[in-house]
Amino acid sequence: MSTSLISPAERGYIREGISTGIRNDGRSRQDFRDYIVNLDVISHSNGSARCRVGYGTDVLVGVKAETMLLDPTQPPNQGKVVCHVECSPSVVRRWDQRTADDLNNNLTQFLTRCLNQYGGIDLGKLCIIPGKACWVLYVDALVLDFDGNLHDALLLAVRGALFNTRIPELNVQEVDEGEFDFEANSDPEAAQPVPGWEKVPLCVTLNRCGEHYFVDATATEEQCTEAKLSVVINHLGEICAVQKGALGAIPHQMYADMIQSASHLVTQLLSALDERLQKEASTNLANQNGKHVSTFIRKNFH
Amino acid sequence: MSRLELLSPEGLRVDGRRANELRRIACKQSVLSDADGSAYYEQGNTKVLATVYGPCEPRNKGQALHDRCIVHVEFTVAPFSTSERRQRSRSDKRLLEIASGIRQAFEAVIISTTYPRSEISIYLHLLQDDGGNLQACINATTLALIDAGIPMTDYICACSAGYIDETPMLDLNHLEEASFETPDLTIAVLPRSGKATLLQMESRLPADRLEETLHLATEGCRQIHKLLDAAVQENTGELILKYANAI
Repeated sequence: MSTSLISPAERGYIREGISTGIRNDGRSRQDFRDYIVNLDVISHSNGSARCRVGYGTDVLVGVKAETMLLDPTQPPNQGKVVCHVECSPSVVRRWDQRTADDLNNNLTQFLTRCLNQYGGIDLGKLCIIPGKACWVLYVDALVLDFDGNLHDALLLAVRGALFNTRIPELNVQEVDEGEFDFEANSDPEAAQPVPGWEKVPLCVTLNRCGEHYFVDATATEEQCTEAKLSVVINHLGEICAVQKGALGAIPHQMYADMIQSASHLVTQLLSALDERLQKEASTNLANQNGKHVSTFIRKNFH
Repeated sequence: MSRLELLSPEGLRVDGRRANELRRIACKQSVLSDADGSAYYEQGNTKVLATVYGPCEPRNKGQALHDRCIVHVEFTVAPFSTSERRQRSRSDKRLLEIASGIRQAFEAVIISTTYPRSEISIYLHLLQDDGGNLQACINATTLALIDAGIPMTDYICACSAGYIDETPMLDLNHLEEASFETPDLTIAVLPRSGKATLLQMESRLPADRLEETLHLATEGCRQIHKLLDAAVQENTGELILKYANAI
């Protein structure tokens, strides 16, 4: 993805490390970098999270819930999820504008696919008045810093943000025969979590390098891989989406193996993430009386 | 009058501050790893992230100047930053205006002749908007430039002030800014010499009140300078410790 140059010697060194199973930073092929997920970063949104993988890749996701009047072209008893991913200009400066637009589009489509149809969120429950009004969840992701493995970081942050999201309660009143009116309850205690957030899938990207494949590539490692396979899997182990990236190909016999190990990794990743989210939410709650320290000012890694 | 009461009879504002009080400021340098310099700046609920790259070869080589560097500023607003979700295009005139204002202000303090034929890029992200974007951006940029080690003659500290109900008010928030007919003035000051590098005002203000309001804003800049300086010293202290441990 990156266009910066890498010398043949360095490429050889990294590939050698991958095939012997000890990478540049001491990880094995199946090891993830340490990551952090901070919740409630943006107080103006209904939910937000910032995910930072290693010291590099940094994704900020804000979720806004807004009511919308349904028009006849839409399904009458469903809400909507609208996704948008944007790489910050400081990230895209390594590419030209067109490559950056392509990347933004690809990531937006990828996220839309992951969240919309079988993405876990219960769209039926986002309907307010069938045929008239529904909730729209705007999931906006901002890539602040890049050091490889954007897809995985993106979905980690999105799951965190949806876990953190609270949708205000609505009081629906019948004003006239068949005519309804609704009003948001401003009490934050009455707000509800996103229906089905726990079913939102996670992604594991496997990078092929020779006969081996490895997870969580850094930006330099991504330059040495032949092909990437992003596998999106939910908590039941169902595969929700698969996307092959980068320029090379993946031999047929490798696929089954890759997908199997991806589903194994996602199960681990999911339980670890949910544990972190619960912990983070409880510390946030404890901090509410004291002063809330912003994620950018906190010392996250020790 | 049906207008929202911005100043209570007891002299308190909508968020409980007095007229001459700043919002809570929190800032930190070196928040991102990839950039040459970065800073996070928070003033009340307004949150800005600034990243600086450079000096490096200009991306558009035709723009290079033979005797000094060029400064490139880009300002983006996150769609979730405002209370209503709004997506802004890159060519939004309001954003371009802020970016060019910041560029002009900083071209005055960066010692640009040190880096001929090169470019310094400043990227600003508004993560949350609660009024006073311009001042927050300028203060964040100062921190990020210092973090990147770019030579400057002085800090630039910016502060806004307004004039509501016959009272000059420091550091307007979104509610105060958005209310009809509030004069809103932003000044950026070089704290050592006291000179202004940027001055913008919107709406009307009685001419004899300008002096008073300007004075209040400048006083705000002084306070902000102290806070920025403390953040820079803390960060430098940490850096020195890191180097000392590494040796």
